[in-house]
Amino acid sequence: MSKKDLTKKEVVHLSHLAQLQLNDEELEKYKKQLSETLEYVNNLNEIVDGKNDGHSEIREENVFFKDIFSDKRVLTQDQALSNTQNKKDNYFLVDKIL
Amino acid sequence: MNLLGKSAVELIELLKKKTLSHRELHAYFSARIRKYNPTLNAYITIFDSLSEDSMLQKPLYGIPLAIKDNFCTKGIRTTASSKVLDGFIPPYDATVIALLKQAGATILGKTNMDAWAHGSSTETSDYGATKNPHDLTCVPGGSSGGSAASVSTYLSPLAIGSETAGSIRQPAAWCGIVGLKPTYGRVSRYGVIAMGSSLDCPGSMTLTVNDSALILEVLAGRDPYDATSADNKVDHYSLFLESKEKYTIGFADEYFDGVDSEITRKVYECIDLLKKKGHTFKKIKLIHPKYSISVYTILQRSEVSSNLSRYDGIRYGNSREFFGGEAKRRIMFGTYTLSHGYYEAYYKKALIVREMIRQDFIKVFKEVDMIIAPTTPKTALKIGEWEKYPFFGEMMDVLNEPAAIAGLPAISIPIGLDSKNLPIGMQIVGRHFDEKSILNLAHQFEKETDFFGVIKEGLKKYV
Repeated sequence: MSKKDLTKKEVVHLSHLAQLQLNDEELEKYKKQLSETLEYVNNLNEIVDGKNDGHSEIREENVFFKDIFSDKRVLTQDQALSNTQNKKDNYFLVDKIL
Repeated sequence: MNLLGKSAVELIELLKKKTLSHRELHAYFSARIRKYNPTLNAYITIFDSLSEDSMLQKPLYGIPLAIKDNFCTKGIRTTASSKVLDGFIPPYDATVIALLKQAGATILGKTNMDAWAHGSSTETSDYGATKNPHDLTCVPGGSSGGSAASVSTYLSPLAIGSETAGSIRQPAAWCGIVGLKPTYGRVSRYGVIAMGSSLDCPGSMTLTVNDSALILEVLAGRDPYDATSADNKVDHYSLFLESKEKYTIGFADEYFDGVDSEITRKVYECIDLLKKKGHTFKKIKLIHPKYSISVYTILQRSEVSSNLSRYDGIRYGNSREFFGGEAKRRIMFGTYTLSHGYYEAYYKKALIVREMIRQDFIKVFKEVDMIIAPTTPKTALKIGEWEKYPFFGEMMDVLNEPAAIAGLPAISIPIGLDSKNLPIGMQIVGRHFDEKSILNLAHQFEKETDFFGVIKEGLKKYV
């Protein structure tokens, strides 16, 4: 984690990964702010001792949900579609992918 | 009857004795919301419903309360203060809401917050900032700023908030009320609009410690819908309040570094007072909170980038173009720290230091029962000041982040006003799942001091 200034190309790439459409002004602003934040968090190098691998021992067993049908949390088709702006014949309408 | 400032516990007594009717109580708070909310902007959705009579026999007896707008409430608009979710009507209740309803609570409305809980001033809300009731030119803190303002002006007897790192304690401190963040996993996160899933914690904002204990009894416990909720025994918190325990309490210089002198002085006065009451104090050494800022910034933004990736506007809500600046900034940063090539340098390193901080606390808790520190380095800031800081929230929550990262329970209580007449908060941090002890000490403190009149002072302008 040495001092790192993000390039505009990297910020554009990030915005694609994050599926955010940013204008030029925003790209410049985030380039500066993200670089500043990266510089601040570099202080972790001052104390990291490598004695643990970042895993915590809070709980070491897996938690499973019983594999049975329960209608307690089932939404009806109407409920599931109640918040969408684009639907057709009781389906969600999405952009064409292929 | 003058109800102003009565705690939920007191209101329940009046309802039980039938000296107060449900209808009166509801009308009382509805009228107060109508009168003061236009100035404060504490609520973004007001829900005028009266509790049913069947609720009367339940523990909360139909008490009306305010809910932070990041808890899904069936049939009531839930936005997390973001226009992305502007018209979202959840088809289900969060577990916290289901438990409150089961216990007989009724919902007055949904309170304002920083959009997606990203912030510490409630100014990143897409529905306008909430004002600090003590000084309308100041912010109430955040992200649970609407809940804090609602309680400190008695627009609701209590409110539900949520904390990722500071979002309950910091606004509670800045608005001069009691804010309890339970142990991570003590209260279910199911149905809470996720910010940092390894940190998020629902909790209460109240006028008395007794009310906090009462609400935690309702909310605590294992929930099959949240795999990270814990099945540890739930204590009888209210009953334990009156126990006359004497504690060994730690305090660390690192938590006074960069703290305003008025706040430092006040906290030391409280330490002296508690010493006189028979508690033992011990100077301890803890990892400096400035490292928690880095751990928190990396982990929280990484989790934000993942959690907010689900908002695509297909099944519900608006498209990603509706995200505000703060959410976009956090998503971008988190996308970077999780991306190939940087994961080890940032996310992984943050996890390692997080575990160091957790172990550091566990070690200290072998010597002391709890830790006392200021809640915030400053009292409430002026509206607009947040934009001067690249990560304002993290800076204002610096003293809250270590306990949040380590998953520890903590309570912030009012301990006085500064020279600008703004409330000062002090926090008590306890061992994992030892909410009963921090509530007990906070209650002892409240009985001794009545929080130095801070709560009454807050209510003065809102009679």
